[in-house]
Amino acid sequence: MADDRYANFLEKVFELTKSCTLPWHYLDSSQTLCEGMKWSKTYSGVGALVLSDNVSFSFNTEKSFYCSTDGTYIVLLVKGTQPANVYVVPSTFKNTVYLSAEIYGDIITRLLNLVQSQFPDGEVFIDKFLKE
Amino acid sequence: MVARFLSFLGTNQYFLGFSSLCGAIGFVLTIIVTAKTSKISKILRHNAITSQYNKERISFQNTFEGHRKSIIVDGLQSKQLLTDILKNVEAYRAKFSEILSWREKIRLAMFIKQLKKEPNQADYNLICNYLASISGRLSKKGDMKNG
Repeated sequence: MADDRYANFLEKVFELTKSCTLPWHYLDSSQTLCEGMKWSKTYSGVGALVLSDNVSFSFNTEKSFYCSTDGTYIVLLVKGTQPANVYVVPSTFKNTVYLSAEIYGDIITRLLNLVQSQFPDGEVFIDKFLKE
Repeated sequence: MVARFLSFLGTNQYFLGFSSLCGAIGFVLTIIVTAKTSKISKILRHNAITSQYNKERISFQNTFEGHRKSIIVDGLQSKQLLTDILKNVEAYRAKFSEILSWREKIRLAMFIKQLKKEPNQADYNLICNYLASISGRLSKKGDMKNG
């Protein structure tokens, strides 16, 4: 059952993103957040020698984003090909709020599409380059 | 004694006729049982997929509605958006193809064809119509079969 408070929150995040007042970043660029939420695993010793990259992420690094406001992170998390979910994560990484795609999928999908459109895309560049 | 009895059974026309009849009935029963078993396993499979459909349909519906609004309300039109929609539609088709009607499968195939077009050649109104149509389908709960 959708909670109006959470729906309004997502609507506001969407509006602020649309007006470019909430800057988003790729989630894998914040080591602190990924480690704090245990979304990444850092390998050391033999593990680091075997793997070409010594950090592995448990989410889709091309489709997961975060933004930060008042010391709190808002995270759009996509695991594999599953729908996106939103996490509201305080800087303590405790008392987080999880907003699932099952209930708020409509606005979360819109938000993800909007955030993705604000990042450079190789396909768009190729189309633009061919037109010139 | 046993040899004479067996010889009698092998030559008695009534016993041979009865044996042949039992063989024929046994054959027919085997076919019927095989057909019934196959039907039961089909029903079980249909019900398992329907149960999964009922569990995931709202999530899929929300996602398709989100994509539709991204195009209509937010005016997004990009290769990335088309690819994301395509991934979701393919996932929906792969998971629930067995419980979809032929008409729905044909519509999905046409939708996928549209999504594979270049972003400047795709008909976004048509894509929104297809998304609305799938969302409408997903608003209905799947019915279980009883046999």
